[in-house]
Amino acid sequence: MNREQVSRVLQQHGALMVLGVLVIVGSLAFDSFATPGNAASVVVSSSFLAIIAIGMTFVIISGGIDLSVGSLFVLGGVLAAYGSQYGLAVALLLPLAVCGAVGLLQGLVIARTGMAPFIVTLAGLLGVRGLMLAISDEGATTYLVKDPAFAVLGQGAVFGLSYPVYVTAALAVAAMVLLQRTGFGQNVYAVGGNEQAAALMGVPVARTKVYVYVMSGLLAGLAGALNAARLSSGVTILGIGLELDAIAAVVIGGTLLTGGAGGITGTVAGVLLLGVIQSLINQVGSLTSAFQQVVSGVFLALVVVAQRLLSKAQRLT
Amino acid sequence: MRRTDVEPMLEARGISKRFPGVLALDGVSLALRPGEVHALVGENGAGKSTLIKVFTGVYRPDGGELRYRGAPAAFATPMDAQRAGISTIYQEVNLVPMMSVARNLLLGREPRGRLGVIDTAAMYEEASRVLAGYGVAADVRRPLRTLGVGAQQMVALARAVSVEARVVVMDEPTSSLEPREVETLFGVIRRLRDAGIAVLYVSHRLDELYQVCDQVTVLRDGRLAHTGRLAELDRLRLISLMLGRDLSDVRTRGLTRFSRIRHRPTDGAAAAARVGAQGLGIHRGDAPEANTPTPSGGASSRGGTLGAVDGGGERDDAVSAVAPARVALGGEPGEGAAGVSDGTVVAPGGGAAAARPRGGVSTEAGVAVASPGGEAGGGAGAGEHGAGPLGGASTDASTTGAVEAGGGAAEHGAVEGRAPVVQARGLTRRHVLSAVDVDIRPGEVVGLGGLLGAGRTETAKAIVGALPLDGGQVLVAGAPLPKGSTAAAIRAGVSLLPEDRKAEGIIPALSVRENIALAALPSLGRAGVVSDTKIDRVVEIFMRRLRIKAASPHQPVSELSGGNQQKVLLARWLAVRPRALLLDEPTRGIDVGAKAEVQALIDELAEEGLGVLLISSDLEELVEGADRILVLREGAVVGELSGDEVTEERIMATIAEQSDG
Ligand SMILES: Nc1ncnc2c1ncn2[C@@H]1O[C@H](COP(=O)(O)OP(=O)(O)OP(=O)(O)O)[C@@H](O)[C@H]1O
Ligand SMILES: [Mg+2]
Repeated sequence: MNREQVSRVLQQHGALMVLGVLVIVGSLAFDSFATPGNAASVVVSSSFLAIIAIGMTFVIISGGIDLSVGSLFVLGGVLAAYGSQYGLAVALLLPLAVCGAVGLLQGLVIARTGMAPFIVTLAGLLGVRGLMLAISDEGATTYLVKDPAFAVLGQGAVFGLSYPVYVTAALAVAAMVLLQRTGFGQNVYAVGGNEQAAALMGVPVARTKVYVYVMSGLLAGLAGALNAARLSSGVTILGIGLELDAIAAVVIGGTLLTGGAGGITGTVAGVLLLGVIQSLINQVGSLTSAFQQVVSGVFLALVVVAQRLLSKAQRLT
Repeated sequence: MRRTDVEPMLEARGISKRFPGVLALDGVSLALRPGEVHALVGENGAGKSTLIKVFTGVYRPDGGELRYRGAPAAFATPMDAQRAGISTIYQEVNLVPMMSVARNLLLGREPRGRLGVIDTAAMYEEASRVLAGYGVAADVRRPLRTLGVGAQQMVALARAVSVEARVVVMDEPTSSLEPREVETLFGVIRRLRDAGIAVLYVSHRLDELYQVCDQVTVLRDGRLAHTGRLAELDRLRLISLMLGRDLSDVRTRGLTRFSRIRHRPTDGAAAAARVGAQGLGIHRGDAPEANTPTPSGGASSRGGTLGAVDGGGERDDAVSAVAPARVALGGEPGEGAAGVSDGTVVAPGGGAAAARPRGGVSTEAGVAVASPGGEAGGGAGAGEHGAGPLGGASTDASTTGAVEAGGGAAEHGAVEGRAPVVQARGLTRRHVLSAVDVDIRPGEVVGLGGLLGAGRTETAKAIVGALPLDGGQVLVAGAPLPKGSTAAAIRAGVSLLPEDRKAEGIIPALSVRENIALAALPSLGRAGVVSDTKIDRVVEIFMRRLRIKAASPHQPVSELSGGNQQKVLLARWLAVRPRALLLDEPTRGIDVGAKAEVQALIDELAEEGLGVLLISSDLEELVEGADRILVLREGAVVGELSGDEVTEERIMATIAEQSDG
């Protein structure tokens, strides 16, 4: 293997490797780390972030960014809890419809006006948060999940893992196929890799962008709904800063923030890595969870530096 | 194909297109008929690419009508045009560098397996098969950017041709191709023609047009200058139509310049002819004239280099020259030293100056570059300090210098005697370069010959530290360069004009002015404060000399035509006034007129003591420009040609000889 191939593999699978190392180190250092219970708890708590991060991966590969997902996650939860009084279908469809619509709106603005995704989705973040506060009377009203069937969706479990984990896994596989094996996926890479060239090659650039933001909105809404089902209520204070966690996971997973390259496997590894870091810090016990953010931050910085070096190594060949 | 009666497949009628500041197309009509190859020619910025983009739905025309297959048509997007059967290779390689070769080639029509999902194995197989047909043997799973520009261009070609097309449009498809690849391309074009497809072909290489095209349309400043059968126009007539000059004008001064190859003997006498061509074709002002210390000395300092270029300075537009640039840059007290040191580097042989007749250069420059010894060097220094911005006062000193230069014997071989500015020793990188040695002496143009992938671009990159090496060293004026630092190379006076201008060269969002001044900034100011007027002067000079067509110096470079972008890039490195300049395909996409200008400029700079490394897939250009040629094959130097041996035949033979053995 030459230098270029090595750096490409590192770029794509670095997160997975580091994850492996951390798991091994963790198991050796802490008896209570490598238990089925702890593993399940890491996986379950990571699944919601993973769903959001999958959508974010598409957005970032297409050369954009979506800051609204944290707010949409919360809104989805509140709408699901609210909708659950009308039954399972409404509890699921209401958040998807609203969050999908917000994604559509953002996508249309970005694709048609050429405004920066950062600005448009920042507006989305603020607007959606406002909407959520309005619905919940400034957070005073907490909607409880009324439909038991819906609650099962978040709480039922098979083989010790709750349903959202399976939903996440299925979504990840579907996303992988979508990205690697369909025309849409190719268009996402092409738009992120060189938008102008993509247009000249006949890629429907605007449509691709719109789809990507719709997907991101839908997935954020779904994650919120599942979370509400798990907690049996639409909690309004969660989800602040979740968009940043999602972006961090995607970047740690090897997707280039500049677009055009990356993948779902890396993102899943990135999400798990953040979960494992959190879990390890909990194991240490003497450290607060605030410390987790410091570690994640440092880690992210390292990854970004490593990515630059790796892509430089690839370019030079 | 003489079927002018056949209904056009694609037709433009009175198309106009306006950009802020320019009317890029003004009532242009053009008809493409099935089974016909139609050449579209014109100077850089004439509107060729714009017309193509109007045809393919990238731009909407401001006026006129587009007809496709007999009915009015308007394509909203390139995709619509492509669906309708108009396939295009745009001027810039327009693919996605980070995606794999196969995905680029087949984007939008990947082979599907079960459930409509892309069958990757089949995709890779098909891509390899298709590309093999175009002589590209590459791992199709690797990112496209790992391929050379030529190979990328072949991928673009394969992509355009492999869709069901009725019209194939090619905007300068050969600008980065090797002769062998060009042959492949022509084969493809003939196949298309025989299949009844209409082909629109844009190129600045006139020989090519005569090889494959039936019809020709000439654009000049956005207007239709001529349309008709190509066979009815000879080369000169075609050039005169493009440039908008009289036939006689082109003939008297441009004959040698524009169609040198035709007049070059192919036997051993080539070298003699070459010297002749330089004397006549490139028209150095001859020393006596330039030396005459008359009141017109001042005038000649303005038009001097031009005179030198054009053989007498009587040229109408008196495009002024690099020489004023030198004065502008070097004319300030303090800055002068640099100019002089350049000069003195050149000076030693003295005869070298005369070997390339060029008294004129030194005259107008006011920096006695040509001066044959310390004595005249001193004169130069004096002239330097006394010099006004453009000349007058410098005439004295420089005239002295020039007289001396003129007096120096026309003694050959002086260049060989000088210490090299750049010495590359044993440049090695696994699978890419093996022990490549290159010496570049001041005043010498060293050509690198070889086929695609022979390591020419890599050699140039290695010299400036843009390619990590496993071994080897680069010495500049005897001092080793730190490894892997392009900044250090630039500081030491070695610059590279990169092959891939889009990825490694221009900064599209910046203006023409900023792009030109970028690399020269440190030398254009004092204590980090940049002088705007100096920049303006330098920019102005290069824009004029290279005929950079832009609405203003403040226009973003991205809005310039392809050839003009290349000129901007060239201007950037010329403005730095390096000691050695490595030029990788410097005239790619540049029109005939400007190409001659660029070549003359390179020659001039070489005469002033610049060492030049020239890479060109245009053999004619290589032979014409280079004093000495190193032939590379598979990353190693396999032959060196100098003097009489520098001919296209010998280069080809050296390459072939080695591949047989
Ligand atoms: N997007 C744009 N905005 C402003 N001006 C433009 C734009 N595109 C092209 N132009 C101008 O239109 C003119 C025609 O450009 P065009 O690219 O068609 O030239 P060309 O004939 O293809 O030249 P070349 O041989 O250099 O490729 C030029 O003056 C160019 O600066
Ligand atoms: Mg063009």
